[in-house]
Amino acid sequence: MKKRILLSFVFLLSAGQIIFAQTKEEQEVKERMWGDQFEGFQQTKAPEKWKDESAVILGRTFDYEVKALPVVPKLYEGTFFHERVLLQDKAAIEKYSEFNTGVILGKKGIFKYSKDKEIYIGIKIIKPDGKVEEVDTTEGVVKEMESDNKKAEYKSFAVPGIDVGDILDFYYVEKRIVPSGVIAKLETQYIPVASEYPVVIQRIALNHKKWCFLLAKSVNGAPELKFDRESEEGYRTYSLVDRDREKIDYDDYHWFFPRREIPMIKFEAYFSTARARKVFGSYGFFLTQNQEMKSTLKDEEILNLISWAKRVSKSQYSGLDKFISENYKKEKDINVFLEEAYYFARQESYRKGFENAYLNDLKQPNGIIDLAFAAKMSNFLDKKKISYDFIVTPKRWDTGLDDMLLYDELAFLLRINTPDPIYLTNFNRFSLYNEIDPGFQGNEAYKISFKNKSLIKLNKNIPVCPDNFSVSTTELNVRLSDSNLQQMVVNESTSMTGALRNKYISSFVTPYEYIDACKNDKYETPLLVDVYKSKGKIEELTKMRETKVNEDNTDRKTEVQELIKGELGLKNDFDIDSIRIVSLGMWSEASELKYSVDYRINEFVNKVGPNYLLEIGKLMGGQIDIDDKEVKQRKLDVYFPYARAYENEICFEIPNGYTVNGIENLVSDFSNGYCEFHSSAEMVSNKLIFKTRKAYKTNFMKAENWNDLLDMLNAATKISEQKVLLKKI
Amino acid sequence: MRKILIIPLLLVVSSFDVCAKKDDENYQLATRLAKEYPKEEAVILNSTTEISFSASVNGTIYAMEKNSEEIMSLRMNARISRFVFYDSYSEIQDSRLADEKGKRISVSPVCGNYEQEDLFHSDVKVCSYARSLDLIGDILCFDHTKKYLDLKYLSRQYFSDPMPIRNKTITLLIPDWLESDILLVNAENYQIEKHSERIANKELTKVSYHAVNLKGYEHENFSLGMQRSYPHILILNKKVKLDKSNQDLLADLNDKYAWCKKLIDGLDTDYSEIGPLVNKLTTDAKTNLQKIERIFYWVQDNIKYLAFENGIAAYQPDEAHQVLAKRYGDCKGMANLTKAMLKEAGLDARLSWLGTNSINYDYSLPTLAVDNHQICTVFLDGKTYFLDPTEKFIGISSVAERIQGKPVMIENGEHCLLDTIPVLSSEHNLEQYKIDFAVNKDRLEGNYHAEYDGNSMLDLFRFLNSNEKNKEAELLEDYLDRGHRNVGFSSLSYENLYKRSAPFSIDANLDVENSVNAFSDELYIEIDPYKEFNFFSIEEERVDDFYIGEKIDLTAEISLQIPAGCQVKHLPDELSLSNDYYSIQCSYELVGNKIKYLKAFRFNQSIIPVEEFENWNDAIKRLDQFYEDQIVLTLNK
Repeated sequence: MKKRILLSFVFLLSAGQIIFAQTKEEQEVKERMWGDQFEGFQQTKAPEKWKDESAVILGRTFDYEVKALPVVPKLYEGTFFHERVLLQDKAAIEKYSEFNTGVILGKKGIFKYSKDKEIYIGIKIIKPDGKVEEVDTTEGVVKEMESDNKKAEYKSFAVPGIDVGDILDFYYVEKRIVPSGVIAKLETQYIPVASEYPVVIQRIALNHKKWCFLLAKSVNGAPELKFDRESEEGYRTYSLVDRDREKIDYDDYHWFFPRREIPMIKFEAYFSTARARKVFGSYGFFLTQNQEMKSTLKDEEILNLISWAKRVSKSQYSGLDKFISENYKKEKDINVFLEEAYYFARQESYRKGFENAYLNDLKQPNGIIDLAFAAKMSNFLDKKKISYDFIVTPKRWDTGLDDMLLYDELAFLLRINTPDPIYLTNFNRFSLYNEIDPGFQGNEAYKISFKNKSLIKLNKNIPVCPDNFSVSTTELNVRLSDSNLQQMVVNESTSMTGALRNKYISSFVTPYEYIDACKNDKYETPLLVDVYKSKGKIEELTKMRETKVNEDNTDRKTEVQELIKGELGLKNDFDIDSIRIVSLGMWSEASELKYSVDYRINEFVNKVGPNYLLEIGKLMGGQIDIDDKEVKQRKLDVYFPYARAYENEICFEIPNGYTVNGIENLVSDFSNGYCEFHSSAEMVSNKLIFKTRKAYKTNFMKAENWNDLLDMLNAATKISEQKVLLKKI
Repeated sequence: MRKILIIPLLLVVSSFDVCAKKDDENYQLATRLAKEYPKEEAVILNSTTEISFSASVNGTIYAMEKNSEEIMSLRMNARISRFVFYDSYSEIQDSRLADEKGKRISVSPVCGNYEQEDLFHSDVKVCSYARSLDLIGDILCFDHTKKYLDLKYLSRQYFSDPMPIRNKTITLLIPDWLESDILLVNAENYQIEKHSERIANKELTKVSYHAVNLKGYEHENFSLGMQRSYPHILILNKKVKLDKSNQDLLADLNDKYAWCKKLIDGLDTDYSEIGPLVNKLTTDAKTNLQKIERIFYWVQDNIKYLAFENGIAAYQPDEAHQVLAKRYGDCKGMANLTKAMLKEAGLDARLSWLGTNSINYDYSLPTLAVDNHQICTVFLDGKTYFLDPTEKFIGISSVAERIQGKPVMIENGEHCLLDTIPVLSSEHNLEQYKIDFAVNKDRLEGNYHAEYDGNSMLDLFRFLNSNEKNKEAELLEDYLDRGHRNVGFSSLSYENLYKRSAPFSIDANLDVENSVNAFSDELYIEIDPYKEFNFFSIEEERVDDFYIGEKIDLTAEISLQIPAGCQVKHLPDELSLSNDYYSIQCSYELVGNKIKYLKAFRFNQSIIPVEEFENWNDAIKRLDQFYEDQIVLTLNK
């Protein structure tokens, strides 16, 4: 496996033109990079406290430049990365011994590349005796990709002659030219200051010239960027220096949002002409009107953005008004009224065109973005004179409210001010009315006061839906096969609500089940066969449907098989006899996804002498396995996707001629403020009824409460490993 | 006017009918085939390859390979991808996609270097052609022509493809001026017919192979690769009988050796850096064998292996001094450095060529397809040592499983030596462990002692060596618990880490949670924490032999102190399974107040061949049943 060391520093490289010969540009880059007198590049020793680390980064710089090119509507963007690392063991040598200038996908011959990009690389090895050897980077292996007569080259090379104790000093520079138009946003970048090796000292500098603007912020404890200088050639520089940074080790951590935890700089660069800036204002481009780097979002910018979205959406979606005025003109109940409006909008955005796109392998209708949705619904509410709040909040995996800065971090929703507030959040094909997207549950948020033209921070955070809102309830009726007592015959009936329903619905519901569930609904989404009149076309569509349904059923069976196999931790394949969707949960009045599966498995019943040991605990599903390192060392907060509960009722029929022993071991009762696990078992007639409930009561937990969670997981694991004895009478 | 209108209308209608009928036939065929190949998106109905040979006026010999495929979709919106490989010695001359009626479909291929895992660089390139077929039964025709610029590199043609093929024909048009032998390989379980005819007026012989109903090739885990299992023809282009030809071909072993030797004769080692290093390493070595060991181990420990395959460079080693300076090399470069260092130490060291166990040809076949690896052979005091420095931590008296038993061509002046790499028995890889358990509530606790030798030791060393040094104990614990979450190790102490001369041994405390279940007056005890090969059956539809990777020799002795106040009620029955490939012995015995559980797995070969799968799966079923059973103790009342 090739190690692509540069990838560890967050930025994803794509192939570009590599500069081979000693061009003037290359010489300039080389002089600039090797000539950098930054303190870290003079270091030769690591602090004693890091002597057992695999590698120590003695010095590191990340410089970013952006400017508009004269005459042509294009931008220049450059990243200059320089690192000096002391390699202290063979694993570090392995990691740093191969470089790749590009990322390509070797699989199935599909390649990615971009043009107008130049890459410069320089590597020096400093031996413990101080001898410096510069690596000839022209020696690597040049590879190429070609399509439509466009050619891109990339390069792989191995670093020669490195040993434990050596220092590797290397730079990687990427210069890009990108088209700009009158306004352009460049890709968001996240530059961490803490990484897998400790860092003695590092610098991050962002440089921009006139017409190019910076939105940047230090988050999660990274030092602040400060204005440094304006150079003679017109670059304004913001920079930070960070020292003595411990490594951050989070490989394979569970429930972890890197952007909320790792100290880093996030930034975006924009270009705009003066006129464009005036015209576009804040419409997704939070531009400063001067050259100062922007680190906060102003109320007025968010206000302008929302007002603009409301204005734009006024002229759109007249269908909704028409639908409501034709069908619900006299409806007094706000709830009924809004629910209808919500489902009309959902069906219009997703169901229309779905069947055609599906049959013809076209891109599915992807609805509308949440801002447009919120703007559209708010106009509707204005018209109907319904009291509501327009709320803005960050996406919880991106940032907290105080660090909100970039357009892509913002989420928009509406809260209807009824005694029990109703939330209208962005929707998808299966979303339900008045369900709060888990992506911002528990968040701090602002409501917009259009009247006062201000943002008001909500007194209370957006509610976290409790664990009984997202519940998976499974009933397993299990008996042993008459012909083979080591085979379990299982009927599983599961129902899912809330976020769990949303997560699994597309694995269980096939496209035509969805289409049929929407058939002849009041939102006028007919089947294609009902639209066409031509006999030939109808026959063709019928044939296509039949084929698709067969294919989908086969695919679903495989997917469900894998799902159950994973869920129960089965080691062998097993047979599914039938899958039946009982309820899709498409509408609020029947919002549960319910399905039933019949299957047979040949595990969990072990013959011991004349008796059988039944691994009944396994039937409650596999338990999460947390690596020792994470168990012992986790210092990062825990971000669950949402509060949720898993309930099981296993009804096991004791075979004739056997008694059951050990059901007392199936009882557990554990609860704390964050989670709980309960289990019970009893005999009812000849059936063992084993019930469990495991709940994550919240969607967030501070790191200091980590053990509270582990205690619950241990309690659940303990029960999942319990067995009962079927003893021959 | 009306008549004129009617005629074209009729034409349209009738042609529509023909199409409809044809489409319908295709649909029916496709739905039938879809049942036969439920996992496939498409099938190749017909595939033909025709290889012809030509000589240009200036004597340059080349071969043209014309390929033509008719592909049928079995699903709607089937995504068809075709790949054509080429390298420094071949080029794609022409390619064309068309629909069933022959109408050209414009598709721009994406071409570039073919990236393979574990290969740093290869000169193999690939062009990919992608196209979707909308409806079931749609047809795509794909033609391409490939030119071979050097006939040595036209050595093999496979019948199979990742897509199933209904009919496959490979035809060779061998001119009278070319002496070629064609060998059909791995055809035993396939329907392949050969037809040969002399076409006098064209002064050539036409040899055709026709295969039907070929399953799609799928890469299988634990496989030694398609060369060993899938049917193919080996093309041995031996001699050109034309006055003007400048093509050097391989007629026999002498030619093959001469060609390989020419590549190493050009090497010019600079000993200025090698000499001092060899002196440093061997200065206090008491014997020549010690010198060999020190040099061999130094190369293993200090040169990083990077795989290069690059046309001629797949055979041409790097200069030894360059490998030393760069601290990396491929097998050829590492073998060459080892040779240079040994020679500098005054020893008789030679470069040697061989094929690893993914190749099952031998040197009786004069072809480049025979070998894919290079090592260094040393002769000392009448003994031969085969040194493969790409094998980290391997001892001098050991050879890797992948080259054991393989024919080897050893550098030897004008005429090579042929030898065979010795085969080591499974005892060489001995892994043994001993556990003394006592019951503590619902867990077993005890002392663990293990010893690892041969491959079992190498696996452990390589695992540790590739990770960070400050994680050694943590990694060892991970290695020992083998992913069992209820198994925990502590207080580790070990000897001979990274030593090649003695087995690695380790002692530790071990506890196994949830391994004792109490039911009223009985204890059910699961004494085996590992259960090697539990649920290890092989899929029935597997095509390739199952490669275990080594000859296993594992013995374990687990004893259990019977708790006071308990007596044995039940012990599982003995299990004894044995055949030519493996033996599995497991038994329980009551010895004093202890239960002794012994198990031994011995594999005489590193593969389980396809014909053995059924027996293997039966054996695993019995082993699974054995593992299910447990010790039952009763409490004395």
